[in-house]
Amino acid sequence: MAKIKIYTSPKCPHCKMLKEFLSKKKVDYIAYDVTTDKEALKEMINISDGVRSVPVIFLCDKVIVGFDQGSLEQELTKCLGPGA
Amino acid sequence: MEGCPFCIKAKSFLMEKGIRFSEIKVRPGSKEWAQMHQKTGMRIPPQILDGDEPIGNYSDLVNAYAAGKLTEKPGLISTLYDVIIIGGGPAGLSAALYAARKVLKTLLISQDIGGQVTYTYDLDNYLGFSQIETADLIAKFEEHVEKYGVEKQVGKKVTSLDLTGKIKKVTSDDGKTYFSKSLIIATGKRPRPLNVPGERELIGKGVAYCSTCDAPLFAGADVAVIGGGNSALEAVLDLDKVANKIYMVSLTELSGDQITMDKVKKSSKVKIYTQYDTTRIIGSSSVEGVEIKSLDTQHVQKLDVEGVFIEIGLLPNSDLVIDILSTNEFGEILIDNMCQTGIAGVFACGDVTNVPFKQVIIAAGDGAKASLAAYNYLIRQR
Repeated sequence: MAKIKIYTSPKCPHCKMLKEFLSKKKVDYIAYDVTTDKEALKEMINISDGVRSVPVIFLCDKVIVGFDQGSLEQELTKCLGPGA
Repeated sequence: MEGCPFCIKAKSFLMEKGIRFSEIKVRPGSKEWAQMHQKTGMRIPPQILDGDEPIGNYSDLVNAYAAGKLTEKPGLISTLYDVIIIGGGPAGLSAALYAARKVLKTLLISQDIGGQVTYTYDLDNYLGFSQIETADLIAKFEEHVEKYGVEKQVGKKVTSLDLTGKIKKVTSDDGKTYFSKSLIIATGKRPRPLNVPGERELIGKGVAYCSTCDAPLFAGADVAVIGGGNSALEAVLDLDKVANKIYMVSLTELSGDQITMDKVKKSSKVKIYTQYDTTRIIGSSSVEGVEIKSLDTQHVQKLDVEGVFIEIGLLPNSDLVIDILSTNEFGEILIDNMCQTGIAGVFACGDVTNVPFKQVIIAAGDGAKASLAAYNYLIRQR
């Protein structure tokens, strides 16, 4: 079961870069397109305390808004252990 | 001592080998001169001491190093790079590629890869690609650079620069300092904030700077777009597909491509306020409205919106060097046609500079130019 959920929109370059980054790191994730999946949009806004900007990343009970490679790398290590 | 070629040689040698050292400047007759004589028995600089033990002059230093006699081991200071490139957009990546192909020891430090271009969904004016998604183009750039094994520190913010000496020092937010013989600044631009109350607090919670990313999240909502140029017009068109009502608020009359302006003006969803200042973004946990003021009548009104897209241009990321390098009235670093900044060994390229026409292909071309100029500079230093 993937520990990571990402909320994305189709025309968002940061979302695409995030997906490529996670794939490169061989990290499993579930991606939701919040432009078509209204439930996912609601869930995203809910868990992030009102964020309406993509990508939103949910990992190990932590919510990260936006794709910032440096901080994401740190959070991945915290969440999945070193080597992630 | 000033004007002492072997002093310079000794320092460069220690730098090259990554050996930590401290420098004591001497002048004939000074207290330091007397100390040098007392400790080494010699009166000709440079005199090198390993701890308290005198090693001798420059050639003694080289011999001691070769014989492995130094107690300070090499590599204790960070590697000395030929070139450090700050920035990972098209200019920085292109500079990295050219530096690597010139077999320069290169480090690229950047907060992100792609830079501003990643605020656009696709491009249709990059030679060789009639239409390409920016994420794909950047992935290609990165892959190309990776082929040459350029060392990268991504996700690091540069917090200070020391450009005073021949060896440039770059310190990042994790406290590490990197040393280099030359430097290329390719830090690009960032969206200009409005700097009004509520903006910073509500970023991501209705305040947006990337319409291509976030416009679809405002389906059925009333939104405002702040700005009157091309990117504001494009944001209005992105929102026109999904939003209920779009207020366009601009300090000036609209300016931009006629075709785009016509499309915006034709939309029944769009209400345009020109000669209006945006004074406040309202909302506690998310955007609930925006306050605008007529420049003409000073009348203030509130627009009820869930989203505010800010498209009022860009600011150069030149804050680190604004007091050190020459910049123009926009804060862009002034460079000559060799990407030189005025400080020897410090080059700049891409959108952070005063080069006209900010385009991906121009930034990439300038990145190449900066690296070749840095290469020429390094050759002359040998």
